Amino acid sequence: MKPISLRMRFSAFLLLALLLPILAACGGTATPGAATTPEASAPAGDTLPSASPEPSASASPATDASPSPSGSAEASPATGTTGESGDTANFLVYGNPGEPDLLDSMDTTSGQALVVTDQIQETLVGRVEGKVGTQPLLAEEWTANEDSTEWTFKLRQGVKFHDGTDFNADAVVFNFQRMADPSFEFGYRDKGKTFQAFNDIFGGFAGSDTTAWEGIEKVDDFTVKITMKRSFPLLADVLSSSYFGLSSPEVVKKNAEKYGTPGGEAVGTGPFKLESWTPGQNIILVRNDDYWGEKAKMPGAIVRFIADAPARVAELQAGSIDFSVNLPPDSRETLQSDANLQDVKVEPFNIAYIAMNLNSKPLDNPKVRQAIAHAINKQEILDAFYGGVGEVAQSFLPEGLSWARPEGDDPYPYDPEKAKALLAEAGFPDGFDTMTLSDGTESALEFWYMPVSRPYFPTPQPVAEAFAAQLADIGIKVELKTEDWGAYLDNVDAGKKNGMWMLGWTGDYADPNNFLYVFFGPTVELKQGYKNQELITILENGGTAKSQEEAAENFKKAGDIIRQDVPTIPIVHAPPVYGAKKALQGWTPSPFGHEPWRTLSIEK
Amino acid sequence: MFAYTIRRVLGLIPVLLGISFLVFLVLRLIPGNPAITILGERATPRQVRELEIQLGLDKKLFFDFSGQRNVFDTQYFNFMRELARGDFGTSIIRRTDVNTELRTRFPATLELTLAALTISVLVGVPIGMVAAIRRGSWIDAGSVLLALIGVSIPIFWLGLMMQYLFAVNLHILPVSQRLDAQFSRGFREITGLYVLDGLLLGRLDLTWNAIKHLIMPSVALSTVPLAIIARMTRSAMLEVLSQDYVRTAWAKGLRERVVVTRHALRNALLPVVTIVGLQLGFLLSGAILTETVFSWPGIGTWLYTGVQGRDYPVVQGGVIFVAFLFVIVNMLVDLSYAFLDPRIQHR
Repeated sequence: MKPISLRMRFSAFLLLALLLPILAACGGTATPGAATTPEASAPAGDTLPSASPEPSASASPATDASPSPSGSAEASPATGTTGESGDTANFLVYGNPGEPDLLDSMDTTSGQALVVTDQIQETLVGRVEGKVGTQPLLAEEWTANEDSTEWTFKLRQGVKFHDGTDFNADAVVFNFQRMADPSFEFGYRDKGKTFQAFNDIFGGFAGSDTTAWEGIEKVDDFTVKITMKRSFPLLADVLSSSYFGLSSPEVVKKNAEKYGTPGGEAVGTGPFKLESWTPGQNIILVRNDDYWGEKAKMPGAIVRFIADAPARVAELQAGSIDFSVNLPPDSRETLQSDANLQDVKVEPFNIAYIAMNLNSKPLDNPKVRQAIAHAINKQEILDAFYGGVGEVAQSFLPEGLSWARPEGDDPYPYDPEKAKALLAEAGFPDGFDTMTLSDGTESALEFWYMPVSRPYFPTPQPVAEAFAAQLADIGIKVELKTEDWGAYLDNVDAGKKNGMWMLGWTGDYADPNNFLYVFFGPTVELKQGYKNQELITILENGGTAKSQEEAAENFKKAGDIIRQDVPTIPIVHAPPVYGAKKALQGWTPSPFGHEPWRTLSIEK
Repeated sequence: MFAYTIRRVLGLIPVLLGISFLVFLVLRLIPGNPAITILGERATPRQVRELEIQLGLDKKLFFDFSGQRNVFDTQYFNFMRELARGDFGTSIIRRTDVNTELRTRFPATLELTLAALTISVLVGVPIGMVAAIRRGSWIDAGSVLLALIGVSIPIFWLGLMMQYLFAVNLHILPVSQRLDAQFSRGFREITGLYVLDGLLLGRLDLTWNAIKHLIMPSVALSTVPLAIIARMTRSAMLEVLSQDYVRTAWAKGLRERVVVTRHALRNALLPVVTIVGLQLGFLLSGAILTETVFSWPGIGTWLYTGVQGRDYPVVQGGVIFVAFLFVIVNMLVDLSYAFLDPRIQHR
């Protein structure tokens, strides 16, 4: 036996020898502001790319309008910005429920990314603070022809992107082509860019058979014309959504597919500029002192990535973040009882619902579905799981779209006696606990709840248990089930979910079809075995109506049909829980979930 | 010795191939795919199909006999081709190289793991020692209880409790992450281990801030290995204390401290060192929970969100990297033993 200590020393030495090369690979050169290489690939160890080409927040933007790579963000290590800690003392600190995927507004659909791009990349059409509605932003005014197929936008003049390049019609056309046109040279689709939101909203990219998008053209330096293939009365509302934030064409070309990644830049005209993105940790924004409108009140903002909701509440209580969103529903009390915190009100623009698969007998029987609708006590759910904050859903449309809601109250108020009577009429006087699928197999009646917390159903499991108890009261016994979120969505879309399931939706823009066509358009047949061509036609007519009155008429009619057939039961419109320090001023959260932070201020 | 080393290194190749094949297959067997998770509630079949084509997920898994494409232009062979070049591909969700993301995130996990390991050795070994020397005393009973609690306490619960006690109520430690944001401004990592980087940059304030952030997550992560190391030390010590040479040491009239440290502990620590090596696997899996609770930007949270979003390249790259680390460490431990004890080579 050799002496043990030798063995131990040897192991320790081995461990070190193993780790050193890894560490060496992790670290870069220790010289800050080293000469930068112009190629787009970051050198090993460039773990902290600076996204601002300027070393300070107030440098004149004209200096970096040239596309020369010196000090550009693509490959440069963080040029020792200010290097001093403490100069962020007056920055806003935001607790983001996760890390953005990309700071390219047009190529992300993640709320955690759009909340940041809202500060950087502005849209043509703005949103009314805290409400569902539009107002001018980068476009000063817009007009549409009679059938809403041709839209003319007059652009604001004298606006510059953060890199000093001019905002004008060419820039707008470039941005929209990038998103719309699959063959556009600067779309970098072959490198993984997908521009999903465009596809989603317009029903396909330019040139496809299904799209509503015809094209965009420059009329003069400050006028663009957008042409639609069919009547599109809500185009301005659609263009106010954060997906249509505009970026500097020069920077997009320079960054190619790296635009908006942690190793690249993100440049728009917004009130804040991107300074740095430290993956996994935070994003630092600094005020754009050359902003065209009223400048941001605070010198900068730090966006911290805190995916764990209870941890965000703890950060608020500890005072280490100023404001945050999508907190657990039971934290409302914490916010209200803490002398330093406030519970911030936001208008809900969402719907939580229970969907039924008509291919799972006896759910094909409308009487059975009506009985289930009468058995659900929506008010009780709202009081128990949402702290009573929000609105019991009478239809699928939230307050911001009340003009398109069907007339009259919910035809299915909580009424267990009536539910039992309907079940008896349907031939189930004692209720039921099984379902028969289209292939004849019989199994326990499934009731699916989501495995993740979403703003519309923050606590899916206990809510599902409450639903199950309410159904049991009228003799319907369900088996509660869940599965991984990816699989959950996959199976719903593929029509493989049997029985009933919980799901919901948060709207992107003020269009009733952004709710109704999504749930009851052509996809509903596969998902729920519910087929109603008349309903689809009415929804399409509503979407292409020439006036809001005509649109409202169609949507109300559609609402009546949905109430009558009840393939899906709307439950609540509940606002997510937003929290902030009491000292935070000027925060009017948007129903859409994110807004520019120009007006926010806090004394520190 | 040389032949043995070569044998072991060559033996790694099928292991890693097997792992890469398994992770590839398992990922694709579970329902849901990146296209679905990117689109979320908004997914319509048409969009999912289009996005799959864009992401190359419409390609066949192993062989394509359709005649439309090359037989080997499939997901698996494209992945293997990249792997052969040492390239894990690009994150589907974030469009960033997986290699870059690994490089960025590994130091965070390494720092957390090393801190947790240090705590569990520095606390676990003395507890085990004292428990063995004072066998049957209340200290011994207490250490048994402590070990039981340490193994069974859920990390996330402990993490939350600590957050509320030390951060929310006492305001002495930060709630989460690695550094206060003002420190990350203009800070350039050298090794990525922030405690060390602060020292290298001569910025003690940064080091202190990093240590403050490290305390709670590393304590939470250390509970299980600490308990195991304490129990292991205790039993190894008990065995050694009953040996003849220890009795001889007592008989010579040596002081307790000398007997225990110089004669007993040194021999008792060999199995403990082995156990420490074996804890690596636990630490990596425990890191996923710990990192999630403390928003620690390491491999754990990265893999977790990768699995959630079905980001195939991220999960493949992450799992293969971790597996590689695991087998390499194991192999090096074996080799060092073989180097020290020639009998092992011939087993």
